[in-house]
Amino acid sequence: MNTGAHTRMALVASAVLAAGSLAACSGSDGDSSAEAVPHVGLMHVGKDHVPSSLDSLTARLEELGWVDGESIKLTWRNLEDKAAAETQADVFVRQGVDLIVAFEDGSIRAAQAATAETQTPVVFLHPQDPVRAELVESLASPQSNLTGVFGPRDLVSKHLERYAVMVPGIDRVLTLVNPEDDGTTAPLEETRVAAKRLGIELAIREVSNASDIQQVFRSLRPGEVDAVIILSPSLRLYFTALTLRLAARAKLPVQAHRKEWVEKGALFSYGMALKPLGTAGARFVDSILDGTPPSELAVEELPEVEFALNLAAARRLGIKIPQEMIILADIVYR
Amino acid sequence: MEQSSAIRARPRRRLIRKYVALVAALVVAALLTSGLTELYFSYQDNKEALFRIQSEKAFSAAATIDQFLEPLVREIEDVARPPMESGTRGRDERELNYLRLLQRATEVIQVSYLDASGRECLRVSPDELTIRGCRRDLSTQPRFRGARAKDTYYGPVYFRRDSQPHMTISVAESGSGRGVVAAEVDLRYVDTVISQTRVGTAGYAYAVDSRGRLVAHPNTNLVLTRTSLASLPQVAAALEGTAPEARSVTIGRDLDGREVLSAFQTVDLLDWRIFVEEPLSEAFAPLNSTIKRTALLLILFLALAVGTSVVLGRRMAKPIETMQAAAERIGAGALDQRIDVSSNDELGALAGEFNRMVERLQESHVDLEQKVDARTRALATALSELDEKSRELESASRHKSEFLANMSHELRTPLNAIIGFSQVLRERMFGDVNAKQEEYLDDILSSGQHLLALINDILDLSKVEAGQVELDVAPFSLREALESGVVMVRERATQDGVHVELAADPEVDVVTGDERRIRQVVFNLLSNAVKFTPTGGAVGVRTARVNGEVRVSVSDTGPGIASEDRERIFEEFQQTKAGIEQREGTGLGLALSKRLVELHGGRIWVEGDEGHGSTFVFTLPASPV
Repeated sequence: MNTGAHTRMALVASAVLAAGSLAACSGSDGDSSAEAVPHVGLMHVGKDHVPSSLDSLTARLEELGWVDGESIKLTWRNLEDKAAAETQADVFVRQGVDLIVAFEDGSIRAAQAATAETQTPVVFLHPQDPVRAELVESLASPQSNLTGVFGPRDLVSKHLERYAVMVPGIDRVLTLVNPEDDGTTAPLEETRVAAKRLGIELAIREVSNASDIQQVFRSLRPGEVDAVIILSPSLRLYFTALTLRLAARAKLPVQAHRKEWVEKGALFSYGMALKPLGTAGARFVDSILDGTPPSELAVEELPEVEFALNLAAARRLGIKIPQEMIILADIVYR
Repeated sequence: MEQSSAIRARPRRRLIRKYVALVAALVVAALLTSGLTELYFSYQDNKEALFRIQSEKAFSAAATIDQFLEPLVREIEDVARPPMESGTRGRDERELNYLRLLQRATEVIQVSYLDASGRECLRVSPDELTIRGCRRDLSTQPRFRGARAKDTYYGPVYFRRDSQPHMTISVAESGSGRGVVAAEVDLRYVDTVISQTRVGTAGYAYAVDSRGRLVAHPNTNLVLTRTSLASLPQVAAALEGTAPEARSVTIGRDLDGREVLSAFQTVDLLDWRIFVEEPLSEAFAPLNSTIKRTALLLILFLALAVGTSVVLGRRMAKPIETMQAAAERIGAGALDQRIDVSSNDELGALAGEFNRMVERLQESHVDLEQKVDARTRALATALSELDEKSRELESASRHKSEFLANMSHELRTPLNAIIGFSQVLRERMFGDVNAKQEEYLDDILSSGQHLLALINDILDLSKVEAGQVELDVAPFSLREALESGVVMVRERATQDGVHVELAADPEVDVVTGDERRIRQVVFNLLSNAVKFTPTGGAVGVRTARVNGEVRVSVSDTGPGIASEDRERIFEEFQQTKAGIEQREGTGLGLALSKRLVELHGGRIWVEGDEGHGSTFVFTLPASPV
């Protein structure tokens, strides 16, 4: 599925979400004819994109015999923010869905809270760390109504390492952090350690909104920093596009957390490969719908990482990417 | 009549039962043979098929794991060669090679280079900073020593974050340096292969290492808890090498102790054993269904066979029943009866023969009837004549008896006068008599008395024969009658020196009969006994109750009676040789006694051998006469 299709799906999903919410409030499930087939609610926070794991998930489900509209009813909801996620999770629970598939931490936390009482099964896809986030007791034995699949955690040290290889003479990296974001502390600490080992200085700037970010870029002196890293998850979620625009104006390379942003101008991304996660997640949905309790399905950790590179951006910035890096890249935008 | 019906009915039932039993037995035997044969071969085929499937699944899983590992090892071997250049460039080349390995083989999550002395000089992974520079000493670790010893080393399975199975594969570099490349490999694929290897609905696969410890199992918890299956018989046999390798199946047990059909295959590279197992209950479920189906068919066909045999049996037995019924009627005299069996077989032929036989029987019967009629008529004539003669004889006998009675009376009167006057003269009531006269008087008296006794006996006998004797039946004491008889003969016995003894059974006393006649019989027997017993002899009288009748015996020690005389002496005027010599008796006493005893419904006979005395026995019935 291409990006355009994702956007259309997101728009349609928003409209359906509104209608679905209304229907749920009026006490109707909105489609009594589908009672015979399992109903699965899928949710994600971040309307700027649709996770690529969604396509691989539904494709694999079809291979397993779960065809949307025939043998299964899939309800996709891409949500604006945390509050919308919490509301939607409640709606799913009230609708009595058989299963919720939650993508990424924002929607996973909302689904966990909403199903605490009903113990509706939840399959999570690519949380940062399911044990640290207390989604499960252990990977081998979840002991919870949540289970699922996740990839390598935020590889912040590797981001710095890749910068060090690809941007010759890199000394200082602008590191944008949101102090109000709980997900900032651990990666920041890791980044600090990595930077020290790599001999890179971090120019850490605390921001929490668009004007803060604009202010940071306005205040940058030429040559003050050599590259940009968006560290806090909340900043990545809401301000990647803005950061890209501002960095381009400042002729600074940006490391993004997804290949989609690389396509839109970031220099590179290096992180978990989402498609395999969606494929793996389908097995959990299949097993649970077949009657296996989620507490008996060990959480799966996939090691696959994806390295995307934008050579056009590098050219614009005057960066000569070493040939071996180009060879190592899984996706190269030229 | 009922017994006769039962006898007639029994063979009919037996015949049908025999038919039914025979046909049913034949059908059951055929079905059982066929069913059991089919079941046996079905069982063998089923078993073979199951064995083949499981063996192939195990083989396939092991081959898949081999196919997963072999290229992976080759990839590692590809990077396990010294760089073309030395120094920093050489190090960069090695790092780049490792990065490429990580890119190509996503299962490899970390690659390390250990130099010839075992120090880790480079570590590359997708999620951690690359470590450069020789610091950690890993020379004592198996990953280094193993690779140096055998070129390629496969470490034990371990679990990262207690979840994903991993393994270290290290390969010694070629060339003079002999460094070692150690790769950490994600074995999730192996886990997936094992999890996806299934037989039926309850069958499963698992893998154990060379020590029997689980390395992959659908139940991850068992793997994570380092469960050892070495104690399972099939695992122990496989590890010891006693179980035949590949494409063989044994009956083993699972962790719950249930019997399972188990096949295994060795993964050569790792020395693992891949087991594919299925619970016996499920594996042989189709066979159980076949057994049930066969049993159902057997019951069905058995019922059909019994039904058919009943119908056939009835059809076969009906002509026989018809013949039997006809034979019964013919046996009851209906000789005009014929058997109506028209079947053109042995039974029809039998019926025809039977009918012909009855025809001949009927002809014989008619002939016989005619002969019987003729004989009957002749017999009737003879009987009529006999009757006439009998009546004449009876009349003659009656006239004889009447004559004898009259003659006896007429004879007794003058005889009484002779006896009476002889006695008077003998007692000298009319004057003295001389010795010669006295002698003649004694002869007259003796002859008169003998003649009188003879006449009395003749009179009695004739009365009996004429049916003029009527018994005066009443209860009386037999003992007293016997004592009386003994008293009457005792004087004579004493004179002759004969001892007379009465031994009456105290149980036998009162009997029913004509006391006077019984006394007459007893006296007769006693007087005979005393008469024929020589001096010094003995006469004994005994009574006893034998078989409900009273038995009286009079025995003596006299000359005995010859066997040829034993019947004769009870006839009129018949005497033994001794009797004739004794010149005593009339020859009518025993004949009269016999008549009197028989009038009482009893019997009289004599026992004992000649020369050893004799015993006269008579009986009286226990019941009243």
